[in-house]
Amino acid sequence: MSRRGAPAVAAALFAALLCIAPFLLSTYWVDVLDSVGLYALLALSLNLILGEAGLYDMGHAAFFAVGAYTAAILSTSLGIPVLLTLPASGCAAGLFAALVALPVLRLRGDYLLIVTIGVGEIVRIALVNDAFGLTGGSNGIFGIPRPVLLGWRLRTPEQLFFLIWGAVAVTVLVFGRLSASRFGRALRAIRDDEVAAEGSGIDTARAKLTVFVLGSAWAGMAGTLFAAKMTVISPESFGFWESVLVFAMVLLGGAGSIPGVLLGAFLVAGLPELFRGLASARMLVFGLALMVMMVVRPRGLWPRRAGGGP
Amino acid sequence: MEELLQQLTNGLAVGGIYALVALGYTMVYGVLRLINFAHGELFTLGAYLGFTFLTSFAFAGRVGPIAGLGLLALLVMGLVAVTGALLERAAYRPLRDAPRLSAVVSALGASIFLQNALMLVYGARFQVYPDEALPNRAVRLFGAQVPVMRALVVAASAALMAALWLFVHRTRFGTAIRAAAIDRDAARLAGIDVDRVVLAVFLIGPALGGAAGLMVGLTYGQVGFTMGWGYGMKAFTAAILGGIGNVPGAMLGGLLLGVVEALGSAYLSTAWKDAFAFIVLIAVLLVRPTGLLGERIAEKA
Amino acid sequence: MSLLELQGLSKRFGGVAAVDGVSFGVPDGVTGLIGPNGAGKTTVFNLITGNIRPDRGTVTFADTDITGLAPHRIVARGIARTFQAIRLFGGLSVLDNVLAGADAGLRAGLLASVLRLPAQRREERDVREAGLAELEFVGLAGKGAAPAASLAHGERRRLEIARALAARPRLVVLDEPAGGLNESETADLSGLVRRIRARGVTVLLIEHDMGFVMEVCERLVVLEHGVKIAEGPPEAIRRDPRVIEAYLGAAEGDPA
Repeated sequence: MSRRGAPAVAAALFAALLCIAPFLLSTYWVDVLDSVGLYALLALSLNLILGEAGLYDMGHAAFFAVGAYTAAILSTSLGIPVLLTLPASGCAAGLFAALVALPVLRLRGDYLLIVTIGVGEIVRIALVNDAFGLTGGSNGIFGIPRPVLLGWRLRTPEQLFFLIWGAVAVTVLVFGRLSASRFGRALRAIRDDEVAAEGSGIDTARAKLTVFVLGSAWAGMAGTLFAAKMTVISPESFGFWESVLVFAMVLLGGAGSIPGVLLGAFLVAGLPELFRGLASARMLVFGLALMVMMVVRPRGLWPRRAGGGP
Repeated sequence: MEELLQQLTNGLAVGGIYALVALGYTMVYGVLRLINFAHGELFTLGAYLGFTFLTSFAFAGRVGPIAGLGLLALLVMGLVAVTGALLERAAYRPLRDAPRLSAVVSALGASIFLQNALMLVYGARFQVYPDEALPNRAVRLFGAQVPVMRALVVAASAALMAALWLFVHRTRFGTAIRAAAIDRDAARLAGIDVDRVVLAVFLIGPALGGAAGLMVGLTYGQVGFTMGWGYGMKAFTAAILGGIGNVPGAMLGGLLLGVVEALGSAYLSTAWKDAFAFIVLIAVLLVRPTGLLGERIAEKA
Repeated sequence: MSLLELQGLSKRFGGVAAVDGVSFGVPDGVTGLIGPNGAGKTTVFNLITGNIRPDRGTVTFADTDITGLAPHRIVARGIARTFQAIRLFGGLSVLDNVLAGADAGLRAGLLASVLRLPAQRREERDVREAGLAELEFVGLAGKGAAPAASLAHGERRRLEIARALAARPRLVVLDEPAGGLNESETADLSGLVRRIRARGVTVLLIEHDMGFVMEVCERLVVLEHGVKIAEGPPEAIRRDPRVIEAYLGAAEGDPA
């Protein structure tokens, strides 16, 4: 039982530390933690697609963008409270993902990688060019109202912290349970050998479509939280670079491992902040750190065990 | 008609550069099944090295314009090739038997590292090639005014591609490279020194990429530390479009993308220029899931 | 009518007929599909399990036409398979490999899994019990938590069979189950195949090990160059001049 107990204690300790963090840290660092939390949402949702199902998706930012813009447009032009746009953002991103997935998901490995990069770029360029007359071009959309939760208007990083990390907690619970279910098992089987998975009776096409839509819809809902936090969004927040960062978080932490992916989010989103003292050399060190960490731990820092739970 | 011809030649010129860079992606991928995300930065390195040599040594004044450019190109290609081989040693060789995606992340790290190293050395602002050192006349070709420099660049990229094609298809070592690209383990069993093949593709690919960077510097005059990502991504798209791992495919894909972009931005929309490549790619992959010339399956099952 | 009926199956690859008008039935019991290398045996298997579609002909299973169905649907109809080159899920535990094989019979949806509804928990508990029972049946009791990649070759073969049985099939299709096994492992496999048959599951297998084939199979179907050249009980096949010639002509392989 102790093998199961130790991670539970570690998780509880981590959660407790997080809960008191906003009271101990400066506003600047709480804001950094808010960003880490948003990245954690993106990384956990990409982990479902990339880590569990093994679908090479390097365009996750596109679905994040669809969600964020849905929230921004609905809240600024129709006056819908921004947090109430969550279902709409999720649906919009999920629908877009389904549209992309139907023709594209039959592509294998690296072909899927470049196509998802391409989808990400097309979305960004469409936003810059204000393709639908709704997105404000390269200036983006501003004046997104502050989120209101149970009558409280959330303004400070400390207040947003609990909203964002609450969402992370829900995500960990939901995805952890999915991962431990027949759905997670089917995804990992597909990742290991798609032909054998189909031959074992798994409806691989359906499972791949489901996970791609679900992970993307989740990124769309993370987009709502991002729009609510920033109050201003513009295309440059949704470029290739964001997709790359989230991709790196999943693999650096350990594909398929929820604690690993959280660690990856902390490292990838947090390390450049810690390296701030290095001024302009910080990204140099960051790139080097990525290389070294992958060479030293090719399966990630906290990989999933073959036998164990999530 | 004149306009169309102009756009076509522009497209072929850019396409030749995409093709040269795409060759580096496709050769490395063919042998190692690795997407070398740092390849775009090797291209940038070539552009910057050209700038350094041009501003430091008066090549043209000493040995004449054409010989000077040739010497410059050899120097740049050699140095970028060595960098490529070092990159393989540091970032990829330790991961050759690791899960495939960990090498992708290592490559992304290498790309970030090289890009920022270039920024620290050369500064964050654009650098401009000294045009007094370069031939700046224009010649009339098929009724269009073409700057000499651009004509030289097109000729050089054609010559490099022809040389590579001959090397890969007509020499023993080229056959070894193609064999390793089809099946690395079988090639090893057949007595091919796979490590030498890997070293070769990490010398040849970066050399061609570096040459392409130099050509961009010579044609457009400006170089910046982020330029590798745009060209690199287009070139990677070109490699996939042609069928990744396939040398003629990369050439075809590069030229095709260059022309599509030139015509698309001239006749459809300049603002969407950077999206055309991806739209064409997705359209082609829907019809041919392994690219235009990609015969074999993308991944071994 | 037999449980499985192949009727005039043909498949060409790039102008070469891999399988050409093959018809035979698989009744209850153990049937062997034999023939020299390149005779089209694995292609016939792939046509049965839906991995490739025939150019012509039909596959009928339990009186229903299953030609051209997706592989996972064919598993759900009651045909499970193993692969010639063992294809396990190396990153999954041994038990999870078996549970993946049971997926087609599970009902729980996403929401039920997230909410851990009682029905989902019950289903998961039952499938685990059944999976452990399958592991015990093939002789892998106690190995459930190990990573599948850590198993020895013979154990992998048996795990693949357990994964196929987990689908609760009426017919299992085994592609060279004795491949790479030593003598005592092959003997164990004969026992396992008999016990599968004793459960009422029909077996169709491809095998090159003629000793094994003659021992476990009640009927044989012989292919050569994509065409069926003989069919019948092992004793008759062993004496069939066409079969002897096919084997002697193709290689030094001895049918007896």
